[in-house]
Amino acid sequence: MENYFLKIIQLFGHTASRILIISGNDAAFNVCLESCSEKLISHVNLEQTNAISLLKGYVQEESYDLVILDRLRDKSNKIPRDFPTFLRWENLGELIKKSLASHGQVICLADNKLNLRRPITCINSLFNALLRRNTSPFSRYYATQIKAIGCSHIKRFHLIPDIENFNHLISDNRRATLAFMRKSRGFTRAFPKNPKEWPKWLFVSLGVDSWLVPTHLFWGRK
Amino acid sequence: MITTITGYLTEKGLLPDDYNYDVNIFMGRNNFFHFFLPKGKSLAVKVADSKSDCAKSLIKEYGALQENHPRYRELLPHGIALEEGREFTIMVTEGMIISSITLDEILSVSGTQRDLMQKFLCGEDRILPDEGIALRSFTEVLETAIEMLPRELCQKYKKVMTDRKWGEFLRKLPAIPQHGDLAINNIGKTDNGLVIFDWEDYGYVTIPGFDLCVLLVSGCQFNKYKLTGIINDIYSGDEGHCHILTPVVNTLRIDQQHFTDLVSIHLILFHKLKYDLGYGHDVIENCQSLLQALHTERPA
Repeated sequence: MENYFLKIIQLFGHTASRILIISGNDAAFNVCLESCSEKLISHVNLEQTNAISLLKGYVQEESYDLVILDRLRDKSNKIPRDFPTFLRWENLGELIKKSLASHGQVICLADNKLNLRRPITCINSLFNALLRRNTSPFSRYYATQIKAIGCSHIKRFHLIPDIENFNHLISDNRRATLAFMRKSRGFTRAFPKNPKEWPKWLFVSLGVDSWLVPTHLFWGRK
Repeated sequence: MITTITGYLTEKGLLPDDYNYDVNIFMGRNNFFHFFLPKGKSLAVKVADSKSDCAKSLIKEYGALQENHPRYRELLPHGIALEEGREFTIMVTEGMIISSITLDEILSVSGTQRDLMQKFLCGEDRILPDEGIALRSFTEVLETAIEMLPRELCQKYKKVMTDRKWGEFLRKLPAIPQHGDLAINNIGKTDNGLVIFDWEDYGYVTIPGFDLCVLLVSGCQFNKYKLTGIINDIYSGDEGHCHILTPVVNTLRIDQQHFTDLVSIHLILFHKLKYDLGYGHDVIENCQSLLQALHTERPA
């Protein structure tokens, strides 16, 4: 079984032997653990009450070649719902800095989970994306935070179609993004009969989902 | 993986060492990386696990590109490097921004692109010298391919093969290595014209006309009426307007009835190829439906 942690490890951490995953759920991690038995993989679930002390323990014991910071969802009960995701990240920066080996890499997944079936959530997501996710202050914030960890090389990718089953990553290249959209987007897509699918069809046809409501992957390397 | 690839490309001097590039990554059967360099240049990189079947395909594809690039320069990407490493096999070619194309657009190309496309589809500059071995194997290959059809179709086409004397017909044809998967989605449009990619099946089929038939059949979405319409256009002999494919079928030296036979033969071979390579049910079912439809009009 393939999941997004495995894909990220395959792409960015093929040679990494020590991996630290900080996420908000256990399911994806368990699949990953079964498939990468040759690697030392530590996992902290931030939904757990002892998460920070567990993380401190891992950081003191090991240094890691690859640190994956999974999307820290806004719905988490540890943070007010209307707080931006990245604010939680600030608390982790120092700990990650301590744990990252020389030439280590950091992957930071910033997800804007969508429910494209409901028009109101489409509008909310779009508004949210315009204000926070896709704006340069957001990117600059992440870039600054990843630099603060000690990474000198940073890239941002758009994950398409979404984080769970992404099969395509586009880095910040306008021409490539446009080429991808020309190839796979457009109103030639079959019009769905179910009215619930209409907002999604419209968003996907216009390319709005990839332009304004993106899932980002920030990659940094020391 | 990405660190291994960027490390290799930087070492070869193909990537700048200051990370001043963008990369577009497709995760599929092979992992495909498209690096965008300064000054509008780009590199296409395919990566497979060493010793896997995909790695063997990459090696084959690189060989095909090296062999055919001098002949049809603008029609295919230029192979830059092949690295058979301990962990990965990496193939580097010139990068292109490609958009999809329709059969009508291909059939209406003009100028140098038209000449090149005709030259490629004719393949007269690729005729294999040892005809004897190849010609004997044509019939055997076809017989094996017919066996792979569903029972009803298999029985019908065995009869058609005998009635229409396909064995004898095939013996008259020269052996020409074919691209092997010239479906419409393996042809793209760039700023400079047409480009043909995915050469890993090159030479798998050597019966001439295979690429032409696969292109026509896939371009018509396996629709019998569209297909027969185009075949009629090719053979209509309209003076003053030469169909782009008329010179191609002329090199085969066969009439319209035999060309329709040839489409059926290649469709049977295409069916086998897709079956062997484990492609999805859709393409296999499409082949079978069209074979069924083409066969209904055949004389007993």
